[in-house]
Amino acid sequence: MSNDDQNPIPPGNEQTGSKHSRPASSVDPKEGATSPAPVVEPSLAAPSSQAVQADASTPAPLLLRQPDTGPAAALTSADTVLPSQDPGTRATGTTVVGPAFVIPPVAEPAPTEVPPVTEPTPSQPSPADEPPPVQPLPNSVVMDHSRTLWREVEPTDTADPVRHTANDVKSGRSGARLVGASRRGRSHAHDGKYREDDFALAICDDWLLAAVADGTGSKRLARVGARIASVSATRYLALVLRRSSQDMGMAAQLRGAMVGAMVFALAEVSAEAARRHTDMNDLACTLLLLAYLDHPGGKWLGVAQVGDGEITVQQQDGKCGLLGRSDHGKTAGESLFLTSSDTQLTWDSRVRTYEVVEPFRSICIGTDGVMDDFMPPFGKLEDLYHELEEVPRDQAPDLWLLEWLNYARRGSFDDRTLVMLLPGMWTRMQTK
Amino acid sequence: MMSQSNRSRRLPVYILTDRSGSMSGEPIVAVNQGLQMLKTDLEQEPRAVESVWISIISFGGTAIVDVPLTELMQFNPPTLRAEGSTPLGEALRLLNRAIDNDVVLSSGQSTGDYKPLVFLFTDGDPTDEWRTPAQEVKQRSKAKTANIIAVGCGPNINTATLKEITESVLIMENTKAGDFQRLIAWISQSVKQTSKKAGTLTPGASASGTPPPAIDLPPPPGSGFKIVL
Repeated sequence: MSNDDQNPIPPGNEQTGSKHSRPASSVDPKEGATSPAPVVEPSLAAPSSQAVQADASTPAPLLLRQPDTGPAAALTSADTVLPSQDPGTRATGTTVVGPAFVIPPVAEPAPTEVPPVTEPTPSQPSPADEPPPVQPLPNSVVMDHSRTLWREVEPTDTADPVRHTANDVKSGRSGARLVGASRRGRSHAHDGKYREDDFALAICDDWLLAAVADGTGSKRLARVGARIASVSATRYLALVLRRSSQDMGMAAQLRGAMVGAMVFALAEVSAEAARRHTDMNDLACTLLLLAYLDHPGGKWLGVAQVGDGEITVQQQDGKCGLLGRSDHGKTAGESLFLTSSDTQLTWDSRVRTYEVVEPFRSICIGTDGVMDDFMPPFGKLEDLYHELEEVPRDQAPDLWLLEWLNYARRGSFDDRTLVMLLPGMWTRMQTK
Repeated sequence: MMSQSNRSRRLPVYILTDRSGSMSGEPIVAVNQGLQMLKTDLEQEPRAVESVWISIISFGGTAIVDVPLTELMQFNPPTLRAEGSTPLGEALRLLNRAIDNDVVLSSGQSTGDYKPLVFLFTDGDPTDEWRTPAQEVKQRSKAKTANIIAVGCGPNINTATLKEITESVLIMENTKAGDFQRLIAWISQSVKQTSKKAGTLTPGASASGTPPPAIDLPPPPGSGFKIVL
């Protein structure tokens, strides 16, 4: 079903496509008297190209300064990442928070080298007559063969139908956009099952909000859980974050909202299970959240993640990295789910908040059906972002993304869902 | 076009089969036919075609890797001849070495191959030192870094031996030809079921050693088989 059909945000709060109007309820950047933020030009309209050129020679203001450690030093280890912990630093007007937007490294794809399949090391016993390994076929040859075997079957189960594809795009008033698409995988098509991934997008004042959920494959109502979790999480974020204020410690407010959104999503999933007289685990799903404040007074990013999938960023210099913390590695492939009992005391550790002090190109939130194809040892994030370069330029970016999600890759037949955050023009920040 | 590495996620399947002297005659014929049947059956399943890789290790007199881990489309079932003693320990050593060399593990930031599936057939007691390698195999079974199913065939099987190798033991009490076909069908179904979940479940063993969920296999292949608990 279309995400437009069930937009979680009441129409009154939504600013889809509106770049020029500002509801009275929103925070005026000029009111932030204590804020050191550069004074913003009167118009909040998206900057014209003229403005871009005019600003090109302007020295970079404080907000665009590189973190003291420099990007190279910042890209060291996940443990050194410092999501903004001190909400007050910016408001005091003294300094820009340190490396507030720092990317943990993606593991070096050392394993992309195929390990020798049966080459024995000298110390190990090996019979001399062991046959050498066969050179693997090109993936295209295998795919050409498997193509003749895959079927596309309509589900016979008429309860809780889900469309095989979904797409949506929402624009914030600064020009930043969320573009999302979701597609049933070959495996579910072959078995006549519904898509079990879902996503929801919302705009609320200067906030851009997104949720992505992957229903647990073996669970009867996985698709229902994914739908409810993603919709309710974005609804909660919209309700809470519209009351947020840059004057009150944004990192703490954002962190609270992200935790609340996970708890609320779980509560809604649990309530649905109760309505259906079934176990909550029948609706098990992962949940990945993003909230981005695109405001002249400051740009903030919150991410939260339960289970596998990835939240990734490409910086202005092309470097890519992880923002979220996927659960797959820690538990030997057993993904955690929103409904897992051992998830529920760890909410806070699943949230990361950042003050965005440098421009970035885009952020991707994807389910494992997409992201595993672009993570070591099977791929790399740079390739993902390279593939998606067209999205910001396309007239119908969500349809472009939906079509792209249909790519063929050997061994990759899960549902695929991807949401992209495309930031607005950063030049606006430079008008002092 | 997608720029992609030639790597894709694999479901490694190891089949260890006894070909000692006691298997000569009808049993070894059944094994050879069974391996052929397994290939034919799996080739109908697109998920298996894309992700299943098979290795055959056999033991009789000596243990050898007849087929190193090979993608399904290129897998040619060997024709095994029954002879000699039952060097199960040597076969288990080969298995341990193969899993360690072949399987791409999950790391903290990414998922590797799916958890290997191992089937072991034997009809008698091992004739070599088998306890040490068995402990290592059992450790994989316990830690659930591999799904290992031992199938004991015939009247001479020692269940206790198999229980020292893995937690999952299946006994075929009398080996009629039809039973073995049913067993192969069950194995094929197990492989398909595992590859079907491949999108969402149990990618390979992790260095962290936290146990993933137990394997979800079809019910055993009917009468003539019993699961040893």
